[in-house]
Amino acid sequence: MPDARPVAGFPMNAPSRPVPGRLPAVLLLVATLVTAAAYLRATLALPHPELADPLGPQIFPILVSGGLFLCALLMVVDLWRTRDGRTPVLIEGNAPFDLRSTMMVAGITAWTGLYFFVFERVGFLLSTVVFLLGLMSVFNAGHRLTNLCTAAGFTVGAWLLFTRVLSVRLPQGVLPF
Amino acid sequence: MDAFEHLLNGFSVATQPINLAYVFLGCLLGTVIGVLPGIGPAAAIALLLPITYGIEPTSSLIMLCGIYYGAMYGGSTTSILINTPGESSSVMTALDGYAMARSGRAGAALAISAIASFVAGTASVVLLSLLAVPLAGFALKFGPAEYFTLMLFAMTSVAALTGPSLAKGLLSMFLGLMFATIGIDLQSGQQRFTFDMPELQDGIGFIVVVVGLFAIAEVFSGLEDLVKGRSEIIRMSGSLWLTRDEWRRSVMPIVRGTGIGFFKGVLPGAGATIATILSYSVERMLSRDKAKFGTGMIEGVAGPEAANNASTGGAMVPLLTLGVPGSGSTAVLLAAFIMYGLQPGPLLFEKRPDLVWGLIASMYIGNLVLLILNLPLVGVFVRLLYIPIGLLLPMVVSISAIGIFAVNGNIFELYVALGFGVIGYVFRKLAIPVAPLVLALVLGGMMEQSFRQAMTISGADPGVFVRSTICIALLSASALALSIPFIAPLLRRFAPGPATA
Repeated sequence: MPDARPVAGFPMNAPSRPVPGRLPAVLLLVATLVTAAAYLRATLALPHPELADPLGPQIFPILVSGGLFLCALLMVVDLWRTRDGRTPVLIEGNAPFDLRSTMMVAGITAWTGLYFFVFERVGFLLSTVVFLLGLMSVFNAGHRLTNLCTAAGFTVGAWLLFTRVLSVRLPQGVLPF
Repeated sequence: MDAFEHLLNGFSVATQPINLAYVFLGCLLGTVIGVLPGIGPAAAIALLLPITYGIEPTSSLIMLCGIYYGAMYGGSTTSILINTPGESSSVMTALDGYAMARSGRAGAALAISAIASFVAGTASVVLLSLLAVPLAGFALKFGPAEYFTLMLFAMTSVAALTGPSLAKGLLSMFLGLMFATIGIDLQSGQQRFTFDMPELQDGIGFIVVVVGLFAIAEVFSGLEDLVKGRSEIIRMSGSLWLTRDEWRRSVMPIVRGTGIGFFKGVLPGAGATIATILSYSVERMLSRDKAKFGTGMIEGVAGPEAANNASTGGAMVPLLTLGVPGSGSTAVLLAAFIMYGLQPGPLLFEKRPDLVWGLIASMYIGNLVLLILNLPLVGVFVRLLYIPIGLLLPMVVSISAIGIFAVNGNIFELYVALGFGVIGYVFRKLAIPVAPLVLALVLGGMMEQSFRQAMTISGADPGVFVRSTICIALLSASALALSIPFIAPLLRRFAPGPATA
């Protein structure tokens, strides 16, 4: 059962510091307010064409930004109702934020962003093999041959299926095919 | 022509060899993806959309629907064997299904799940066939104001009833509406929020958002779980055949679950998750062994599984007859329809009866295919669970990249999908439901057009939204949905005894 234990390279016995309970809720409230204000500002900056419909392209976004402010208000009410800590502000979907998980997701995001950056330039085949091999080396550590075979096999299989069978265009990149 | 004749014609379309092959392929792919931990029906449809390019729309939609209910079937396997529901509607199955698996009855739990799913899925398609014609006829009475209030109802119910907090549900909905306003305004031709980027002129692609929110976000969460060593796979054990006593105890939960699931599926927002919770609660309430629920009661698997799959037929009712999806998964299906230049709704029944009824007829066949696939082959599907997550999830990212790139050949959309992947991960962490965002994104454009058309026709008089009985009923239903999170705790306070489930 390969999934029953933490993977190599990410020992879980190291202390993990979860973010304090109410902080994410407060940050979410602030983010909502900032988003609502920025969206309203951008909406009000839109030009109003003279010959368009009487309401214009601004009316719906104004209502939406009003809705975002309403959400912020409801969040304030939620925070106020739970100020004594009786009811949890957050019912976490998976687990609380912690520094290690955040760093790990940031790393995967950066690696995936790099993959997308070279996807067209280098081509599907090369970029995908390297991308997969990189992630598999970390998250399926210690199985070098399996990882190499899986990364190469999957990439070539997907390329044949999509380009040859389904006629989907994939970036060729530096390779001649 | 009545529903029966339409259905017969539909069967003539669905039983064409090519369509039978697509039903089979859709069910197979749906089951395989549903079995893979964490990937639910919405992500399954979005990820597999690229393989439908170049296929005739009827066959393609038949396959996508097969993927939809195939993934719903497959999701229960992960609930039972690894206590990891593919999506929220399989959570209740995990309570007793996983307990059955731990006590050596995994085979029986998987079998009753497949049988309940087949019975409920087929019954719900029968009900869909009966309701489709009258509802599509009723939908012809809808004007812009009625459509606006209908979409408002769909969105507010999803926002209010999914997730633990009304504020978070509404936040997700309004963010979806905000993203829907990006691009060229269809009425004035004015660019909005494009920041002079030509890639944003057509708005944010729906598939891009769905793949980001469901597939890429799932990769982040799945790898995090892997690192933390949370998953423990129970090997399939015990006979697939049920004992006489298990059969006897399962019949009525399946019947009740089917009824609950279908009618909850028809209602936007309520959907499969609430149907399964309600079904589980009802079974627990009616049982003489209430205390044993959660320890491996077969009723706790049969009822929710029936409700889960019956809701898929129910969810197709508003999608096909009104053109309004009631959940994230059906919103993705709507996007697939739109991608083929088809707008579900009453006019589609008139213009393309072959497609609509062919699709409905294919669901009868699909349910049978799923039973045939799931009972004898469950052992084969279970083997997918033993693929190391560290190998599987990186491949999901690559499939996502292919799926997005195949639509427009645009690298910018890959970055957008990655951004939505991060948003989806953060949403999960903060328990913000993603379904309202998806629904608002797909309905936002239509909702705005309906709103502005209604206001233009009425000379900018907002009273147009309370002039018809349909509008008043839908607005009242929206208000009721929004008030449920406030009313429910009060009702619970006055309810006798401990809360169920």
